[in-house]
Order: sequence, then structure tokens, then C-alpha cells
Amino acid sequence: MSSLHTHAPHLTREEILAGTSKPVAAWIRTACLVLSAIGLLAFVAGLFLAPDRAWQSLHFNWLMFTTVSSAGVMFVAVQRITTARWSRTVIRFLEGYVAWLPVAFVILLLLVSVGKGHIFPWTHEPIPGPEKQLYLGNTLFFTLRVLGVYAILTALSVWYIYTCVRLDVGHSPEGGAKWARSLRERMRRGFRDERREIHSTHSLQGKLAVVLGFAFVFGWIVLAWDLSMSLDPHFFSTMYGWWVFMSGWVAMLASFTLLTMAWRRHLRRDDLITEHHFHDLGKLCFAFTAFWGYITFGQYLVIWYGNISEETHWMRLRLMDPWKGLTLSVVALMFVLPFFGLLSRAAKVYLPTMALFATCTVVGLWLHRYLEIYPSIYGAAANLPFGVWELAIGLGCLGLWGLCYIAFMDAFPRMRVTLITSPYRDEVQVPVDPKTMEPLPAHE
Amino acid sequence: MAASAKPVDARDIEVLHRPNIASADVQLPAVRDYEQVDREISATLSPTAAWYIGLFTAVGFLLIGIAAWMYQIYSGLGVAGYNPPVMWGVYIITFVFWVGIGHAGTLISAILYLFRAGFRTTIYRCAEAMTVFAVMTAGLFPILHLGRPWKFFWLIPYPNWRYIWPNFKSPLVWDVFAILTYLTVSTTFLYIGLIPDIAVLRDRERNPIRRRIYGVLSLGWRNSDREWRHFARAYLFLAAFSTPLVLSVHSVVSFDFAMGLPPGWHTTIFPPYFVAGAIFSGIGMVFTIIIPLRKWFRLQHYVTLNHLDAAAKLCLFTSLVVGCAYMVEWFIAWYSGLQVEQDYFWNRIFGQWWWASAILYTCNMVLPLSLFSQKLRRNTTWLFILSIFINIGMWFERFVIVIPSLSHEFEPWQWSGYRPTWVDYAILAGSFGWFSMWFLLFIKQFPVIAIAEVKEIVKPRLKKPHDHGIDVAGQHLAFERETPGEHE
Repeated sequence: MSSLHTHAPHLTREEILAGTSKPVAAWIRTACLVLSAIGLLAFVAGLFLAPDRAWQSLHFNWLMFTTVSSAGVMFVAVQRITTARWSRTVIRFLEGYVAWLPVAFVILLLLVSVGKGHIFPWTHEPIPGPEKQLYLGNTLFFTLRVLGVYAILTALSVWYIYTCVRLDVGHSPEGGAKWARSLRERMRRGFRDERREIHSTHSLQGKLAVVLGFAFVFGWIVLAWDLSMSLDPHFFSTMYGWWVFMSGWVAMLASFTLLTMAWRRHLRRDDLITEHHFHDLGKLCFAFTAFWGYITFGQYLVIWYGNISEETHWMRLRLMDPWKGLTLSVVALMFVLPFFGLLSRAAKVYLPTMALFATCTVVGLWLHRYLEIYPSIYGAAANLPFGVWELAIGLGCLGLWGLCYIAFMDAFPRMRVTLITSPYRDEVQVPVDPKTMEPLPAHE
Repeated sequence: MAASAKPVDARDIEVLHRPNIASADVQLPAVRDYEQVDREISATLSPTAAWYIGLFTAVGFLLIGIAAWMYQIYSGLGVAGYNPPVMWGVYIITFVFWVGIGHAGTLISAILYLFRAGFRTTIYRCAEAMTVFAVMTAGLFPILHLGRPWKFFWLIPYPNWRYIWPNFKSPLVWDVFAILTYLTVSTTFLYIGLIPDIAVLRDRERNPIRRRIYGVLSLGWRNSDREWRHFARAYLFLAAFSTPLVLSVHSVVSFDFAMGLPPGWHTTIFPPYFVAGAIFSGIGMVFTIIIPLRKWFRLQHYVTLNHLDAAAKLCLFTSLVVGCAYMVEWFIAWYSGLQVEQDYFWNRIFGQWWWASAILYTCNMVLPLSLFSQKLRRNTTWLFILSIFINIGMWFERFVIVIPSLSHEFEPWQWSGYRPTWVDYAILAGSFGWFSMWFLLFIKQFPVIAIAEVKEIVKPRLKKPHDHGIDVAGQHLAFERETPGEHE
């Protein structure tokens, strides 16, 4: 995946900017608004009719959308770490995921303050052992930890994407959504010559990407313990944190593929978004689907074989009615279908099949998050606690996420125009001397 | 191993300073044409006095190991440092160590191939050969660990005359399958990649017997389009096939521990953490081997600083993954509230085994952080020193996994210590001798750098533009007309 898969090297920056600036269709925006309204209404009604379910639903949906969005920004940073070129025309579609993160901070604030008692069983049940009493039972420690970790993650993510977007806004003519005008002006302020900016941004991003990587991995491990694993305070698994953020990673790749398809249809730029991009995205989806299968099975096998009660009860509950059907569905949606479905190249580049399997993964992750939370609260329930609250609030989050995403995408250039068109774009592919911007000698 | 290839001349030095790159792939600015590649790489095959000294030293170590093993067979396993309940010692530690080393080869040759990572080109052959010999070394240790080593074939599931089958529920049996599969596939992969290079050697060889042997090994390679097409397909297929094996082998090795219940062993993170550790140790060993090799063979303009820089980043990444896993383990041991786990971790880090843990954490977590510095990533002396620390650290990681758990299990009356004997050390040294012997023999029969793949990134001299998007100057045409097969 080392080369830039575009057939349009002759296009100028202005042509690309003009050719990719078509605003998002009004009906999509309206649909997002309607979905958000439905979600909000359902949540407010839920607060009176079934407050536990409303908060729990918001909680698992928050986990779903936030892990995916945060993974999206991390994937953008990974492009820098690996100095990838293949993604230059499509990666902005993923950079837009950052817009959800600040909104999610507000929701998280509500979840750990007002909603906490409705979500976490350990707020009103005895907490086993002094360690967990200290780790979970201390409200101030818990709240500050969760909010602090997430705030750091969000701040770094926003900063990182800011540096990406700035490089394209810097020399581009003014245009885009009004709300971001001052932001764009700020980006243009102090923007020096292009070559210098490409080098200095690359250098800054190199450091930021690594710090963000630390924040992403350690942050999500802690958030996975606190917001997901702790729902069952008797359970612990060392793999759990990795499992949570890597499942979000797979769904991020799947949703990114779906959005890239949508953007290609919308912008009608088959010259810039090519079959090779879908092949690459398909390969990534396939690879990380296999990885998800690997860590899921690895975790399951160790727990099954060890057969100790602290661990097995968590798995056993999810393999009992009423949860069993959903658990098996998650395995099918997140592993069996996309793994076997995406084996061939044809399935990756034929958009309907790719879309089908990517959708499987995204829906699979939604159920995955549901199963992390609900069984730990409801135990061996008679009926599956799944209904209008989960669906409506899920759709509401989808709508809100869409609004954030559209707001971002309408405000900034849709492609990394500078890195597509600049004559200096590939200079930073090798280690360079920061002062002279010349490559370091290849060997002694 | 004195210099056997042509030294870099003044013209080459000049080229080094030109902006050497316009692509993400690591290029070779001082390699001008195909003839130079053939000449310089095949020149590494002529034996030198230093090579003989190296080989005899390796065989000497091997003989020490063999002698110690014979003594052990004669006297019984008691001469090794086993001290009940610590019945897994240096042999199992060294087994896991060598299996781990064997991971970098396939990672570099297969996974990085799939990711089109250019920096693998000149280091992968060395890493692949290392893989095969490391797995061959690892395979000896379960046998060395047996009281009656001649019964080792009982692990192979054939229906014998007593209708006894191995216990398929035992992770030790899974190991047999996983490692034999890995050895088979990685050997095949090494060999397939060697075919075009063996053909080059065949064409340059003057000795008729060697020429005939190379002729047979190259399977009659004639460099035709059709052969290349099949070759590219086979190579891609094998790369895709080997990739899950990289994950599976060390996961299965981790199950040897994780499936058991001793404190410190039964933990769900073991499979991916073992794989990351294995890759980390493998890259460490790649540095240990390739840094002296490039100097002795004067191959600095093939294995450039850019290659080492990129590989060092991968090394740093795996070190961070392993470090993250250590920290997760500490936290969960505390959070679990299980006194046995807590006590065990305390004993491992601050108690009886503090020194082993200190070596492990220093070598695997702290020292590799130096690779955040670009200067140090491009300093071959530091990379070599660090790689030795990584090898030591990774051996101690397995020590810290195996010994503290067994010596500090559930019942305090069982608690004990462990001290390896001279037999353990001799056999450990013998394993290095065995590994080095094979590697040294390999580098004088086959090229340590893939001639065919290097040629792919060197400009060809053509009389007319080539079909595959290469102009007369040897430049690849831009964008859609890429190297053939790149998008397959």
C-alpha cells in the first residue's frame, strides 16, 4: 500500500478543491436531524418511563460511536507513522470522525454524573474486595479518571486533525461552512511557504501521532475497564482493553469503507477515489476482522480451558438465554461473514459485496457493545432487554454523529489537496535534516 | 569474515548525497545496475579465514552442548537444575526464546511484503534464514527436556500398535502441530524466494558439480515472463498463508502457560503479547546478525541506514506493545483481588526474583525507548548493543514467566527456588553453536540479500521503453503504470 492510487496527477489544487466541494445533500442532513430528534425524544421519554434502560442504552451507544470515532483519528495518525501515501485522497473522510469526540465528552459527562447510578451495578451493590472498592467505589477518583483520560484523548485528537486540515486550508481560497470561518482564518494565520509547512507539519505530526498512540491505547484500556469491564465487578481479563479498542478499530475501517463509497458516489470522482482504494480498505477490513477473531477466540479459549469461576461466569452468561442468540450473531457478523466474504479480491472491489460485509461489521460492533453492558446488568433475565429504547437511542446517536460529521466535512477541504498536488509532497517520505530539508545520507 | 565484496568506490560515495528518494520505498542510491548487484552480492559467497574461524567456534559450542546432553542422558535429568516443583527450567525457557526469534523472519518476509513495506527488501532473506534455523534450534529443546528423548515421536499422532494417541487436549501437542507447520511453511517460503537467486548463482558458477546442484535447486529457472508470473503468485500466496501462522505459533506456545492455572500464567492477554514479544526478540536478533554482516561483507549500501531506521521503529513498536502488556498484567493482578496473583506478582517484581524482573524490564521496556531518537536509530553501534540487550531481555522474559510461577504456586510449602547447573548453561551455549553453524553454512551457499528483489528497485538499462511502465532512463512511469503485480 505504498503508492498513491490516483489517476489524476495532472489536476491542480484548485481543480481538486472545486471538484470535491459539492455540499452534502439536504435530505441527508434532514435525515440526521430527524434521527437525532427521535433519539432525543426517546431518551427524554425514557428518563420518565424507564430511566435505567435509557441511560444504559445511551451508555452502550456512546461506547460504540466513541470507540469507532477515536479509532478513526488514530488511524489517521497511523498514516503519518507509516508515511502512507495510498490514502491521501480518502483519509479526510476519516478525519471527520474527530467531530464526534467533543460532543461525546458532553455525553460522557452526563453518563458518569447523572446516569452513573442507572448504569453501573456497583453503585448500589456491594463491591467485592478492597481493591475494587478503592478503584470503583471512590466516586471522585472514578469520575476524574474517566473524564481526564477522555479529555486528553479528545484534545490530542482534535489537535492532530487540526494540523492535517491546516495544511490544506493554509493556501486554499476561503470557502466552506460558516461556523468554521474563524477557525480557517486562524489556520491561515502565520502559514509560511508550502515546502516549509509540509516539513514542519510532518515533523510535528510525527511527535503528535506517537503521543496520540499512547493516549489511544492506554486511554482506551482504562476506559474499557472503567466503562465496560467494571459493569461486572467480579470479572477481569487482561485482554479486555485491547479487545474493546480493536473491535472499535475493525468497525472504524468498515464504516470508513462505507463512507468512502458514499463520497465517491456523491462527488463523482472515480479518478481520485479508485478501485485500488477499495481493495486496500477491503484488505484492511479483512486483516483486522481476522485479528478480531484471533483475540476473541484467544480470550475465550484461555477462559474456557482455565475454567475458573471468576472468568467463566462472564462468558457463560453470554452463552445462555436470552443472550445466546445475540452473542452468536456477533460472532457471525464480526467474524464469520466478513472473514469468508472478503477473502477474494473480487469481493473487496465489487462495491455491493464490500458494502454488505462492512455493514455486517458495523452492526456486529453495535451488538458487541450491547453485550458488553447489558448482560452484566440483567444477568440471566427471562426476556431480552432489547427494544425501543436501544433502537431509538441508537438511531439518535447515529443522527447526531452524522450531524457532527457533516458539519466537519462541509467546513474543510474534502481531500488532502496539498499532499496530492504539492511538488514537495514526497520529500518527507524519508528521514530528512530538519534544517536543510534534504534527505539524510542513506548510509555511512 | 573479511571483506569479500567490492568496496564502495568514490563514485558511489558521491551518489549517496543526492536526494535519494522520491517514494516511500527505501531506495538504494549507491546501487547502479544489475551487474553490480550480481557481482557484489554473489561475492559474499566466497569463504574467508574469518568465516572458517566463526564456523569452527560455532561447531565448538555445539560440541560442548552435545557433550553435556550425552552426560545428561547418561546421568538422568537430575543433572539439570530442576528443583521440584520447578520442573520446567532453562530448556523450556530456551525453547520459547528460539521459537520467538523465529518470528521476525516471517513477519518481515510475509507481513511486510503484504503491506508493501519497502524496507524489508534487503533484510528479509537474512531474517528468513534466521527463522528457519531458530525454529530448528527451538525444536531440539522439548526433546532435550525429555527423560527418554528417543521416545519423542510419541507426540506425533499416528495410530501405533498400542492404539495410544497423544492427548489432543494438551497444548504441548498443539505445539508440535503449530511448530512443524511453521517450520514447513517458512522453509518453503525461504526456498521459493531463493529460486531466482539460485539461478543467478547457477549462471555464474564455474565448478560443474556446484553448478549442477544449483541447476537442480533452481528448478530450471529461465527468467521467463511466465515463470515470473507464477513466482509472483506463489510468493503472494505463501505470504498470505504464512501470516496467520506467525500469529498462531507463538499463541500456541503461550497456551502452554495460559492454559495452566499457576499464578502469572493463566491470563488472557498471553496470545497477542507472546506474538508481539516474539517479533520484538526476532527483530533484536536480526539486528544482532545483520549489523556485523553488512559491515563484514561491505553491504552498507544495500542494508542502508534507512532500512535499519525503519526496522528500528518496528522494534520500538513491538517493545511498546510488550511493555503495555506488562503494565496491564500488573494492574489486573492487583484489581483481580486474588491474593495468590497479588502475592505472586510482588514476589516476581520485588521479592525472590526481583533481579530477573529488573533485567527484563530494563532490557525490554526501558532501553528500547532510546529508539525514539532518530540519531540512535541510525547509529549502528547503538543498535547492535541494544540488540544484545534485547536478546538478553527476551530470554529473561521467558525466565520470569516460567520460573517465578512454578516456584511460587498456591501452597506455601511448595515454594522453592531454582538454579541452573553447568549442564543447562552448556546446552544453552550449544544451541547458539547449532544456530550459528547453520547460519554460517547458509551464508556461504546462498545470497544473504535477495538479488532478484534488489533488482526490482534498481533502474534497469533498457534500449527501448518497457511494457511494464518503465521508460528508457529506467524510471518507473508515474501513477497508473506501476510495477506489474503491485495491485494484485
